[in-house]
Amino acid sequence: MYSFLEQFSHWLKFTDLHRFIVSNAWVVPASQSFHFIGLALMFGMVGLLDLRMLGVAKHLPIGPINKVTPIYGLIGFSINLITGFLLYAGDPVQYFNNVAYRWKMLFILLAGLNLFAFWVTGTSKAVDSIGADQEAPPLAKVMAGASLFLWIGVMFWGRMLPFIGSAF
Amino acid sequence: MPFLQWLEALPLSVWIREGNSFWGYPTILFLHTLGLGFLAGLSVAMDMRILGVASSLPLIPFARFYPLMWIGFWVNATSGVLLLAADATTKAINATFWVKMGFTLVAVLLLFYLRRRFFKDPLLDSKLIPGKGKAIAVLSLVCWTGAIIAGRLMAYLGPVAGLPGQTNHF
Repeated sequence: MYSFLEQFSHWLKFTDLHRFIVSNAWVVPASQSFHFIGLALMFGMVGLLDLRMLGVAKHLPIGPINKVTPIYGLIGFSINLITGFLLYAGDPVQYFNNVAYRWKMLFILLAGLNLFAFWVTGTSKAVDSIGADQEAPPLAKVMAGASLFLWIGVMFWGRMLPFIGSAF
Repeated sequence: MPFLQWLEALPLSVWIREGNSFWGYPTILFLHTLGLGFLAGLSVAMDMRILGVASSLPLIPFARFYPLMWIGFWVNATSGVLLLAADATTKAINATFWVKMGFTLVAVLLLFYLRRRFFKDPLLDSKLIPGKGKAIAVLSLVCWTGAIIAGRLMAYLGPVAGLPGQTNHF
């Protein structure tokens, strides 16, 4: 896996995509801008669900939030996957060797596993029936806390890319 | 401008900019992103509800997210002032910065307006959202998008901050 990703990063350097990104000065600033827009959309929607499960704005029933958060969260995540890939392709070997980048990917993976667990353990189904003024079950609260912690961690490692590593 | 030069020369500004400390520029920049996530993120989520996403959710309880949004606002006002002070002579004369401030000011004023005029109506959830409310939500989304783009472009357009070899031009 490691050597595959390393080879992939070296290969990316010689693609037309890489050439396009480095020869058009607007691609990186535009990608970064949309990366932050995707962040706001996704963190806002995920935050809405997680905070409600943790007990904020308890007058809101959880079901309708849990129905729309995956949709708009996925839209935000997709924006960031695409713009993130463009940024990676603009300087692939640097990102591959960047410690902060590896931590960021690990945190995204853990957030994904947390979401997977939220679905397969039936927690998602259980919170669908939590109406106004009702408490979410303890497991849902743990997963909501983990989700907030992990996504804030993703932001942290993303911001550390130029400081701990040498991105941009 | 003497004031900007004075601001940039303050020991705190110098430390943030040139101290090479994790607690200086990197941490302040991270807090600025975190504040964005809470303030713009929750405001965007609320705007989308006003525009009809998850319309079975009552709107009034969204008022409970205001304290978190204000925390996000103050985190960003504070971190923003510190980042501005560290690079005052370049950032404060960069038009992109003032475009960002314009968008941010309107977005925050819209949050106030929604709270004062909209959430105070006890019958809010028993009637259709007026066109005015939807217009405010659209304008809010436009302003946050504009503020984020302008904020990012400050690193590319106009007088760009950052000493040569320093990492604070991000």
